[in-house]
Amino acid sequence: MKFSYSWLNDFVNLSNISPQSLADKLTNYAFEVEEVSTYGANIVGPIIAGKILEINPHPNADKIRLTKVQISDTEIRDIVCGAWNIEVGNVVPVALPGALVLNRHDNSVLPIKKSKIRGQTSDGMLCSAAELGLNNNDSNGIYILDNFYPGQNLIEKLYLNQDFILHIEPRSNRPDALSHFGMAREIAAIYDFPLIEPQTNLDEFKQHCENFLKLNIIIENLDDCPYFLLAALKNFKALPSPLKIQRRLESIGVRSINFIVDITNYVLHEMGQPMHAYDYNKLNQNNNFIVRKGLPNEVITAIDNREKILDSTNLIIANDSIPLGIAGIMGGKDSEISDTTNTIVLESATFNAKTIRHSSRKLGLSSDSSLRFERGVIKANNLISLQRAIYLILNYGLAQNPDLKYSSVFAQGNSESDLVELTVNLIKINSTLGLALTIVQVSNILMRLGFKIVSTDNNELVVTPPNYRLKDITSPIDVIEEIARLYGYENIPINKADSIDSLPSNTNISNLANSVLVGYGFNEIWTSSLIPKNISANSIRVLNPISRDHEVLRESLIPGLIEVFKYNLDRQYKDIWIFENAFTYTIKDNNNSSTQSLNPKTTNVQETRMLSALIYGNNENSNWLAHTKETDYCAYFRLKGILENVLTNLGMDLNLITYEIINHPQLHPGRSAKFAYNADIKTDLGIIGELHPQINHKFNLKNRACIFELDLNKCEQYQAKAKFKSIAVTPVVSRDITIDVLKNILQQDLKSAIINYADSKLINCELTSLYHLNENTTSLTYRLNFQDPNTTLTAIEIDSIIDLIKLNLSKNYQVTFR
Amino acid sequence: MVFNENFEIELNNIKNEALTKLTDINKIDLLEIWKQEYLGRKSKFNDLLKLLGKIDSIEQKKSIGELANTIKETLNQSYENYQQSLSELEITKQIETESIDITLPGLNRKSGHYHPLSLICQRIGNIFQGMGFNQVFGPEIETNYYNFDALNIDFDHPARDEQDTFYTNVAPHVLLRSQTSTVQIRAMEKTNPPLKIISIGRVYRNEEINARKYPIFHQVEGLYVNKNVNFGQLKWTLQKFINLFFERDLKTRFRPDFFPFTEPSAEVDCECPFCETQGCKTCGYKGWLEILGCGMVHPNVLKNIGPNYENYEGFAFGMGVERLAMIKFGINDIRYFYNNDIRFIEQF
Repeated sequence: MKFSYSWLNDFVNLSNISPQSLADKLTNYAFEVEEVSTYGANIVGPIIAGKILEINPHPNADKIRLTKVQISDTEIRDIVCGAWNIEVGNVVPVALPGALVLNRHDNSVLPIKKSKIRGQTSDGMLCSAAELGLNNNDSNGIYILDNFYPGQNLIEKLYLNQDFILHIEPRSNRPDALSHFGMAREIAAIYDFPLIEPQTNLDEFKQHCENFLKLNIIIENLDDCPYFLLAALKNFKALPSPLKIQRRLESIGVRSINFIVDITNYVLHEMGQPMHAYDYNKLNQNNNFIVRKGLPNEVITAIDNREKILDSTNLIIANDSIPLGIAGIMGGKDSEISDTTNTIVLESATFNAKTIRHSSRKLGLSSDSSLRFERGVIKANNLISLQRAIYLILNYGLAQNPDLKYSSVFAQGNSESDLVELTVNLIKINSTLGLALTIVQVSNILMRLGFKIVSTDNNELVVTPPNYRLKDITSPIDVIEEIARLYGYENIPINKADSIDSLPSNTNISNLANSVLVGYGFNEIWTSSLIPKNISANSIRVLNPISRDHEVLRESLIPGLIEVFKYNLDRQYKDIWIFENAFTYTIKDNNNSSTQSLNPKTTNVQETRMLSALIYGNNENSNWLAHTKETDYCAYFRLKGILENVLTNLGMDLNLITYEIINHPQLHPGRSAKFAYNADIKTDLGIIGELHPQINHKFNLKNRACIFELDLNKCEQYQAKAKFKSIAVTPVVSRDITIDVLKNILQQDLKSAIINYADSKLINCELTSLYHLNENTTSLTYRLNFQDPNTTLTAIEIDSIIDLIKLNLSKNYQVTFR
Repeated sequence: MVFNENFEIELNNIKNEALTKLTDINKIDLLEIWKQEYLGRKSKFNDLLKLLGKIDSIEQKKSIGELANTIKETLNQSYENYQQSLSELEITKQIETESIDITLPGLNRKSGHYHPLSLICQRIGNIFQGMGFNQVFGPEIETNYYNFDALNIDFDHPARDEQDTFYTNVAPHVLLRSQTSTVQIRAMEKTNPPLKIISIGRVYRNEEINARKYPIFHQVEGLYVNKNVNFGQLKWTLQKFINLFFERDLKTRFRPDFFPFTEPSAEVDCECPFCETQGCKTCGYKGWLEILGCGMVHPNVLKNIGPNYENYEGFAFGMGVERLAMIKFGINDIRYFYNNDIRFIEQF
């Protein structure tokens, strides 16, 4: 929000405070100032109104002429001029030697000096509007002034001084500072400077007050509109908006419309009170102003020329059955001020913040007014703002409209606000802030902010916040914040915080799994947990998604992994090894969902930490040693090996893990499995498999990709803590055993049978070769390692174990041995 | 006697023959064959020695035995000398033939990389853990209660609008948390004071995707509750964090702001580490970088937890992980984090 430095200066004397130091102070004590910019050119006087007395030809040049210009009662200057739009008798701006104006060709600074132009003295320069930094249309010619007389200081009269604009970030809890007066009040408090009130006293215009009509205000519901004021003006004839008001509005980015609208906008930005002006002549002598909710399908054309369809969400001002305006947001086209407006009705009101917010959202329409109403306007401000508007209209309008009359104020509702008394404890103030303030210091700070000190004793203050801060100061802690702010956050000394013993976090399993995969050469990815809608009926859906790509919460990391795979594939990546460690989201079993969903503290949603990885290609740096190298031969087994190492690192016993073929929409039906942990009960841990051939085809893959997904929450449950076993010194004896089996026997079954039938002297059993004998039979060779920690095993002992294994295998499976 | 003489001659012949042959040998395996031939169990030399027993004279036996031993020693010595020089020769040869271009690239698997947000989360976690904050976690799918009510956010607060928060089909009160401040409440409900925690996690806001905004991002929440916690301690903690995070002492600026769940509240800026408040592209020519929001825990928040939090005070702070990562690494577009381009991830 933009604030004019010179406008702020109307209410607090800033002559010793530069715009930048004001900005820094505000940032540290109240509101962030994001930027300080300038408005207008840096025009420097003397620039005086001068009357052209003579225009004579130049003896040595055709295109320029000599003028004699009267710049005061007694002084006449010779000035050479090249413009041809001037006539004797015109009053024009004269820049005298020493002045700085703008070069109209390139807007650079043009210093004015007494000089000779083709032999003729020129003691100054007649200026165009552009040369004075003004945006008038006919900027080519000299600026012909109306209603000026020679000798007037134009720097003052034309508001030629450069202004500084502070871009201040407004804060939702401080509606009192959304205006120049409100901001100046804050500045006065921060610097402890006196505040200068705006001129609202109409006494000097008393003779223009006349009760020429009566207006009836009917408020349907005081909750929506607690206070509503109207006043009327008559005998108004259109006149140009005052230059000062135009310049100020323009400086903060508000376009000038006409005299009346500019004044209402000026009051809005000065006092923070939105105003509205109706053209009374367009109301057909109907004096009823009704504040009510919109009716279904009621229509209004707003001043933005767009038709709005209203309903009961919208609060409106109606002239009996005809809507005049959307309360607090925008007025209606039909009663808009125009060039012919003669009688004006001014509105200044308080509307319920919530009502206006809902109304504005519903219409998708907001304005400078609605912005303020949504945050809450100050009731106490309604009347003085209305008086301020009337004051400004009379002040600037009477010269040209001497018959202007204003009515008395018509009011409905209540302007009183309940005042709160807050008790603040000095010990609490000091302990919260780490300070040692006294009652006197605290009282001083609070009085600067407009608080009334009701009473004090040694340790307590009873205070009343000012009526413009009733919304944000409601409890003692709010008062403490005000004390902290004005004391200065920067002045609060730094204090070392006490330490509490910190426990190691329980992220171990996650970090461990990640480090194993990074060590293997995987890149970690973080994907969106909101994904496109899928077929799963159980997925959790977002009711207000930003797009179809972010509609449901993922139940698996696989879709995200595949998307990132595809993304990198499209960027010519040949080897893609990626993993993600993140949450998936599912609704818990719905046995007692009805009772659960009523509990405001529970969600019935299960968040599960998952680890998912994908490999594609061999992920090796270019191998210059061997030209041909298997790239994806059995990506499945390669990834399975990695998965097994991850599981081992997480403290899982691989001998307790079993695999089972599954059907998964994204995986190869013949090359995918789910795996489970068989401790006391069988628990599914995850899935592993090659990407479905359909996806391979769709992505036009040259190699095979393989994916696993592992439930880390379950791993955490079964994770075995590392425990030391003494290291045996007896020799390890190895034996190979080759078994021919039918192909349909799963290797894992055969292996666990071997382990079962051997006794504890078998320390491990590894498949060392596999050979397909024919269509039906496979030959498997296992290397069995035996060791007894206490004694060296003899050949006879081992033979007997092998015999036992063979005997049992042949009993249970159709096998032969070599 | 002749026998004796012959014996001596024979032994010397063998010796000479052996030594002559030795000069032709240029390989270790040939040397071994030579050894078998002249010094092995079945060598001529041994055969000859077997006949030694047939000599009657002890004197002669002794003198021939001595000769035989001398010759054997000579041969053994020659063998050892030859063996050493031959193996030296062979290693020299191996070294000569085996030298490689040591500048050829190493054979390896590409190394993996952590996601930059992972690195930043770890870094932040470590810093705060070092200051005695326990790392805790809270759910992402939350309730109105934890996301708003318990945090003193009015029912009518604009933040509760559908515009900013994602609601779900699970139940009307179930939403995707818009801030990690929810964990403050959950941690206090579980633990009696004092407590000092941080929580790093994912949050959601209904915002259009652009270079600076993504509907999913991550926050760090910190909370310290104890007797006599004050604003000065909050300043100390965050100043320390900023210095450790950016690895240098940076000026900070605490400026007033408003959050419903803290009071007094502040926004903390730090001196831009890239331009030292001179103004640059990273700080938007402001000279300061907005880093985090913080404040003293609002009494209403503590009151909502229950009587065990009476008479306690606390401070809390929150910061955006993506923002810190973008500043730390000089990343100019938040979408890089979620596109997961390998060329991006490999940089960290």
